Amino acid sequence: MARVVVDPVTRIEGHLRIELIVDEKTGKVTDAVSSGTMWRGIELILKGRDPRDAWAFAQRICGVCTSIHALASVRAVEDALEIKIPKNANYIRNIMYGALQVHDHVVHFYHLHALDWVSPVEALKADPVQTAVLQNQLLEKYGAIADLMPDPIGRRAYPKKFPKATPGYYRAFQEKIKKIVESGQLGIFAAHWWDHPDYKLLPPEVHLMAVAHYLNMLDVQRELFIPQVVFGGKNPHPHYIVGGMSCSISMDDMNAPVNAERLAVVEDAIYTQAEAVNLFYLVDLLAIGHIYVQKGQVYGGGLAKRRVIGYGEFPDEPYSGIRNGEYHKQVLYHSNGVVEDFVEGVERAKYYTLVGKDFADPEVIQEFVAHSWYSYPDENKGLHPWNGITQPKYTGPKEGTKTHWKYLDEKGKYSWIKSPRWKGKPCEVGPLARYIVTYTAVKQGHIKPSWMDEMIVKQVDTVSEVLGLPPHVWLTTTVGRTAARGLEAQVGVAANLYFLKKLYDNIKAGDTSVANMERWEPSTWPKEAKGVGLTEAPRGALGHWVIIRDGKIENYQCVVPTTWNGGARDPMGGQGAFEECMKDTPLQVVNKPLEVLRGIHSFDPCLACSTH
Amino acid sequence: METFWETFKRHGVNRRDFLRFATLMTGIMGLSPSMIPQVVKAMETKPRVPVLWIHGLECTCCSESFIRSATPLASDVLLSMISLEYDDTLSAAAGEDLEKHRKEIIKKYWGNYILAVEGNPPLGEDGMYCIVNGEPFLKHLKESAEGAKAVIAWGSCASWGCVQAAKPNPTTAVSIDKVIKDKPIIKVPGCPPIAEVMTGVIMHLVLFDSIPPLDSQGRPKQFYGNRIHDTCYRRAFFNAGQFVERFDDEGAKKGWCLYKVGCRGPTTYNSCGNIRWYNGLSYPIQAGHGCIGCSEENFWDNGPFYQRLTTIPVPSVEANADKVGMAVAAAAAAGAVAHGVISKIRSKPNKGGE
Amino acid sequence: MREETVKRIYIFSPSLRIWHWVNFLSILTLFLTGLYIGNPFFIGSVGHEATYAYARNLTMDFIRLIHFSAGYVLLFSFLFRLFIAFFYKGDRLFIPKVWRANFWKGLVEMVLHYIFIKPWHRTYVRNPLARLAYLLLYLALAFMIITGFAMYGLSDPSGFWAKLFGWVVPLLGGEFMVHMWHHWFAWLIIIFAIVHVYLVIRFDVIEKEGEVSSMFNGMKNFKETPVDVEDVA
Ligand code: HEM
Ligand code: HEM
Ligand code: NFV
Ligand code: SF4
Ligand code: SF4
Ligand code: F3S
Ligand SMILES: [Mg+2]
Repeated sequence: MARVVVDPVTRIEGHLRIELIVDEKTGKVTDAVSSGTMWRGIELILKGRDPRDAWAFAQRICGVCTSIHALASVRAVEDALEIKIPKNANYIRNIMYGALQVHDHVVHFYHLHALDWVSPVEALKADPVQTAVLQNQLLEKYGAIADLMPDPIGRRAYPKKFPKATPGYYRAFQEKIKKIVESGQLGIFAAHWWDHPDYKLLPPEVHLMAVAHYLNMLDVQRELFIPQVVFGGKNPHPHYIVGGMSCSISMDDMNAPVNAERLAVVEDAIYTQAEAVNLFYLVDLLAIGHIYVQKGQVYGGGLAKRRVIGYGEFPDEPYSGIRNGEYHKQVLYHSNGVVEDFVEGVERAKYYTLVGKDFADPEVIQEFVAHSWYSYPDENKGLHPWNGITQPKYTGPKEGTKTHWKYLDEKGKYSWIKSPRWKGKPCEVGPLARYIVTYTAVKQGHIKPSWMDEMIVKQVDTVSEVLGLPPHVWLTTTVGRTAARGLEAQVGVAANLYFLKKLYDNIKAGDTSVANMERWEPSTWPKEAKGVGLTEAPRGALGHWVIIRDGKIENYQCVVPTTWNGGARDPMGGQGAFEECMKDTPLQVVNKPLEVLRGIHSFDPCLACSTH
Repeated sequence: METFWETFKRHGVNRRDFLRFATLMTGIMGLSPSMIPQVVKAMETKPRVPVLWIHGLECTCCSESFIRSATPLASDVLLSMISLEYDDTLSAAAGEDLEKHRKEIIKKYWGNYILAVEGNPPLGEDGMYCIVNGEPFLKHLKESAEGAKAVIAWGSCASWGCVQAAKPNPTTAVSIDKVIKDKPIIKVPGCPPIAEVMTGVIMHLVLFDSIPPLDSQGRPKQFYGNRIHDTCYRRAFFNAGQFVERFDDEGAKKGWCLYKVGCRGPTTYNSCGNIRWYNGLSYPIQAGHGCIGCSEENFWDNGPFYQRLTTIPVPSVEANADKVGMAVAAAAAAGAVAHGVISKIRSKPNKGGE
Repeated sequence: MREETVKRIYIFSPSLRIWHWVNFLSILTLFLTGLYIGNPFFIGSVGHEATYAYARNLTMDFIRLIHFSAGYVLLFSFLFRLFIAFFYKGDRLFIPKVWRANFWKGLVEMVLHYIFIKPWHRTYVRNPLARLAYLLLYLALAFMIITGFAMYGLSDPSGFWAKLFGWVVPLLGGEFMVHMWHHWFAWLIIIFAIVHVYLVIRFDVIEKEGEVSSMFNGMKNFKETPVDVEDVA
């Protein structure tokens, strides 16, 4: 048995260490350790502050999934203070959220994940002419996926950004890569395991195409976030307010934050999102994923096979609260629920719904710290976030010294990430989890599907057809996790078009309100209030729990997607999704665990989020 | 290492376009047109600079902001102007192999590479609130700084401490200048900084092979020389006394000044008012929200954000200067009257020496 | 009444008296305009195009202009105040003679007197407590001038005022904090003024030293020789 350490894990947000216990002969990973190696204590910093300021602090939990913690935070405070935001604010927040989904997923796929699948070294061997031919073929073969996206606005005359299927385009990128390689200054491509056998799975032309799009999308990604810049003033970290949004709408005042020109900027950006997703992302994803699946890479599902959880998103209209169940009556994305044993087929999977009251129930969602560097009065028990405690207690490694580790101690405490559990059980979160929950909910008939749910089911069925495999086989793999994310980006674009249309219609109907200021002044608040803010962050289900007393934050706890996925084991022995995924991934070269890295990357880990 | 002109030539860019690019850059960097020849010369002769970009306690929004740059595009910076040899967020390689590469770069380019730091080191728990490769980030930082030509402090985290250093600073996070004393440090504050400010700083370093002129606090003057208030398009409304009283009121629709809902523009040094975000598309104030002062030291503890005056920093006093001042003044006046009355009753003429 | 024993002593030079009232008026102006700057509680100019509105009403721009003008008056009068102290003994009464044991004894005595424990105190041209208070007030004024001109000047960070007083900004933890300190000290000065006016009137009414008029005619009346008479005569 070998113990392989990868630290730092790169192409992620923040500081993650993994340790693998591998059977050298078979390449089987028998056990795995995921450790978050940073902690800032933002929950402690939030205590005693004005709840209206909380969004800004919480937002700084992460600049990659920027805005999502702000959204969770304003929702939590609004839930506590029983504030219902205006319609426009709801539409605008949804568009900002959708923009995040699209951007984060695109950047993850190209800039954080692609180099696990494709290699610039292989791209050098490609023929640019053939690559151009291939690009056209792939657009023909997979391009129909674009038709799954409804466009209620329908104003784009023709795509402005589409893959350039010309030899010159590919030659330019190939030459750039060549010069970088020749100069010996490899920059971001330096020192990687380019000789790993998996880089031989794809033909060189696919490598060149994907690497070219890696660079091309580096330039395009900025435009995907333009809606946040218009409505929130900047990106990363746009501005929100409790009660709605600050970007007042007026068609009478030339200095108004939102007017027809600003809306046009947003509309154009959403169409750019559509093109980036439909013409680049999904086509590249299907091309690469298809080959990997055909070559037998159907591992890495791990925990997704057994249990996934989601909270639900895209409230169609404003709601009066989350705890009272109104939020879940409005969501279009019915990922709120838990699904067990999806791997046995969608008919045999077990589905449990999750609605407002479940998030206030002290037994449903809890966090454990038995194996994390925190202390609880009783570490065998979990705590509901309203009663949550964040008390650091660093203990050090199993081998090595306090400040110089060799191996971590998986029997003791070994991570700055806590362990969230649903009824004491670990769950995977993320686009894959949301897809499994939504798909199961629709197929088993638990919900009345919204247009969005229907779109998701259609996407899954379409891809199943392309791959020639049923959903429970291909979804519960590393490829499936990556594919679900791409499909979800398309849902994000569709949602943005849908909510922009609603925004137009509502303004047209004469409603320009963006903020409900009735409960702005602390004098209007109750002495004590508790709230939950839920959302579906790009990486999975996110909840903020707040207690407000005498106008100040008494307790603030965030239970974050990467906390679910990357967290430490629980006292009952349950392991999180990272560890389960690694155990479900065979290695070809023990000291170059590319497959595991790819599996970990398929979660899009965010460590700043996970520990906060 | 190749020069910019060589890089451009290789791309089939002709001399005229190259010169146009140089002119554009001169403008972006706020330099006078008389500087164009110098910029062109610099671009023709300066080689690409190796950069190590390391991450401490932070949220990676600075990296995210960086790649939002439009002029220059982040791809041009990353692939043609600098050679990004180490970056937790973008490097293909991981683990021991990447760490080895970092050490090789330090040795190979000793005294010639730039260290870019995003985030900051915690000092608490022997630095083990932020760990890289099993060791404190603090060690990683010092080791990487030793051979650097200059250090860039990206964002408010590296420059001031930012959110993790806000009270009660549970990890004892400190700005990097508290632990790196012997290197020139360029502070590029902001949470995050504006993308074009970040790439602008790199442009300056690369083009002129020198540190941009800094103010007394280590910030490049060309980007942090003015208050947002002094460059804000809503300033006319401030001067006229036309204020938003509450979010989404009439004044808010008219785009009036956000001073009374807590705008920190009057005390914040940043380029938000002139360069703005996304190449001039917007900035917080344009979206109707006051500036929260995100490029200023300690801005997190200068809240609440929606109040012009902070509450008095005295425990359990929940009022601002005007309320406390008024109360104390009234008490002083009342006290004076009471004191006067008592004095009058008990008054005796002075009998010095008796 | 033993009118014949009253001594009239000439204390305040005309310069000081002029200074005092200029100072008073400038501070009053600064305080009122400063409060508005800190919290613009009335809208200056509804219905006018913003750019030109300042010329028409009591706008923020105009009020700031008054504040800064009064700031200049305060600055020059302050410098003037320091200047005249070199020429006339009576203009140096604000210096507390902390190196003398008598000073501390007198200070304690005055405090005890004011809290009604000691029924009388010795007669002074300027009692130790007052001297200390005035000195602190001068320091507070200097603080207001430094922070005020720092904020005023930093719209041009390479300009004269920024070079002269810019250093105070990082020292106080950023410009936001400079505003807060400037604001807090504004109240401190006003509270001083309230107590000061009370005590002046008190001396006039109870101890009959002709206090108030002294700031006009320069003379005070004493029933006995003040213990610190050497400081004026
Ligand atoms: C006793 C003397 C003074 C008093 C009572 C006073 C009072 C005030 C007050 C209450 C404020 C509002 C502070 C805030 O909330 O931001 C203020 C602002 C200000 N004062 Fe003074 N001040 C005094 C002297 C000065 C002097 C000598 C100057 C020098 C020019 C000055 C310049 C300023 C400036 C520049 C501001 C900020 C204006 C703005 O933000 O628009 N002050 N003052
Ligand atoms: C902002 C308001 C005021 C300030 C800052 C102020 C300040 C001062 C200072 C610094 C002195 C001592 C001068 C020296 O010897 O160095 C003084 C003395 C004096 N002030 Fe004022 N003053 C104010 C308002 C007034 C008013 C309204 C009156 C009149 C009722 C007044 C009456 C006097 C008198 C009578 C003295 C002489 C006291 C003595 O030496 O015993 N002051 N004042
Ligand atoms: N995990 C996580 Fe996040 C996301 N998505 C947030 O809640 O990345 Ni920074
Ligand atoms: S300065 Fe702000 S934006 Fe940059 S890393 Fe720190 S918290 Fe994130
Ligand atoms: S909005 Fe803010 S920065 Fe702009 S003028 Fe008003 S106070 Fe100044
Ligand atoms: S909050 Fe920050 S982004 Fe600019 S407007 Fe203020 S400095
Ligand atoms: Mg938490």
